[in-house]
Amino acid sequence: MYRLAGLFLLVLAGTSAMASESPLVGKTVPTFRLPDETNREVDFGVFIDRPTVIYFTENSCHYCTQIIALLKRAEAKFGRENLRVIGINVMARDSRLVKAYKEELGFTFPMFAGNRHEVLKTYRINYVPVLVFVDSKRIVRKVVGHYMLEPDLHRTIREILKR
Amino acid sequence: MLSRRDFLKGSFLLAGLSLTGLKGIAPASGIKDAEVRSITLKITYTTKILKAPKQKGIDIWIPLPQTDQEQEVMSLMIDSPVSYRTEISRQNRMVYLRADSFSEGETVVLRYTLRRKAAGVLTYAEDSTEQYLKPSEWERWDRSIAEFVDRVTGREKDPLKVGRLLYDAIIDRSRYVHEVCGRGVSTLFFEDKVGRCDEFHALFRSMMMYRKIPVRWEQGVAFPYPSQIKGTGEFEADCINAHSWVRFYIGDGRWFPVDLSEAKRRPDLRDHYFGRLVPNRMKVSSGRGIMLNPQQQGIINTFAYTYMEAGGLPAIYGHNYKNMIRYELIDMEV
Repeated sequence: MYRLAGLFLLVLAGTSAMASESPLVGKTVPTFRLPDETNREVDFGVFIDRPTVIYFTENSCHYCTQIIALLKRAEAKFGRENLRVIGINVMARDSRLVKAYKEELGFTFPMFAGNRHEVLKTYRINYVPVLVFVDSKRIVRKVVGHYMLEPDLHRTIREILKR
Repeated sequence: MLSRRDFLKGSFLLAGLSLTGLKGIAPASGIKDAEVRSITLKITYTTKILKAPKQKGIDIWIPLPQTDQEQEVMSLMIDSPVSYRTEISRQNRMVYLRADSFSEGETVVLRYTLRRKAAGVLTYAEDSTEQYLKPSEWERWDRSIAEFVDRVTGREKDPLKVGRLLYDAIIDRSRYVHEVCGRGVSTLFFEDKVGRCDEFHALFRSMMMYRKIPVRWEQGVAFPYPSQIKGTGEFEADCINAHSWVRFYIGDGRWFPVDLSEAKRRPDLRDHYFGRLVPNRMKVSSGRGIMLNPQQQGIINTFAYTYMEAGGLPAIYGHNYKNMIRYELIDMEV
């Protein structure tokens, strides 16, 4: 209850650490080759073929776990043919953790092991959750570095779907 | 030294708290956080299985706070659905449990009484300072950080003066954000200037170590401030409510405490947090890049709350398990 109230105040106060400040906004989305759940090194850029949410998460973060549920619902609501979700687990150094994480939380969108310095530095991931919103031209439109309420998530997704 | 007026104020307040038994009241009015000498809390720390992990072979490590110069931990009781043992690894104590699996709803409960003092400079005469000059993998510094430190501290050699210059410089250039789980990477925080306690203290530690001043990392959880705490309360023991602070070495075995992120959040306590800590906290472990006992498979940045592995992989907090801290305020010395 208190946590929900806190989240609401946080969003109201507009304390988004990264929403308008990320140097990535307005630029082509950077991509990297990372291990997927089968331990293949894949450039996750190949999945950015439509408006995409890149979601940086890890295992010890409660808000992050909650956002996975929101992303699953968003994927169903907007349709996989219109919206791509990509997960990057910043705790994972190889496929094992990614595979177990996907199985536990029951989602099917691609996830990669993202505990690599160049990825974390480029995306400036010093904390999680972080959501990167990319439009159909592969331009980063928004970076949100905190929990999002579902209506805000949907509104931001609609913005990248329009472009 | 307490003035007569403050002594009387504190005495009346405590009398009032005793009479009401503290439950459900907010002893907020009139308490100055910087003047509280100690807080005593009855704590119930619960780790609950929400959904049994699919992988078999569950290991659980729960941090056990220890009695030291800053705090007393009394009357420890542990309730567990399986056998457990207490272990020590380096400076840290923990409860360790292992089972093939746990059932949904099972809990491990630790009950203890904590008396936390308003700690200032402490002496650890027996400790080697060399180990506190080795940065963890998250605290390495780069040329930008080194140049910044050189510019801010110049030729100053006195650790206290160097500490204060860097304390102020970091606080002034950085922004605090609360509801995130930090990784505490100095170089990223230096660039981004946004973070919470782990980021502030990682950068301070890097900068001080660059100047060859040893710094200890202390890890715990934060309770509401004395001016805001109610008779009872409950919160999640997770990365959001975890709290860190550091102590740097000022010679002759003496370690000087600083809390930069709280100084950022509470500008009225900025001078206080350079050398003193408000006692609304509990230390549960020390250091970063934690090795548990028995050794875990995953990499643990800090050890502030329960860590669980399933099949040798970190379980998912908020999905597989959850920790709650319930407290009852039983005394406050002003």
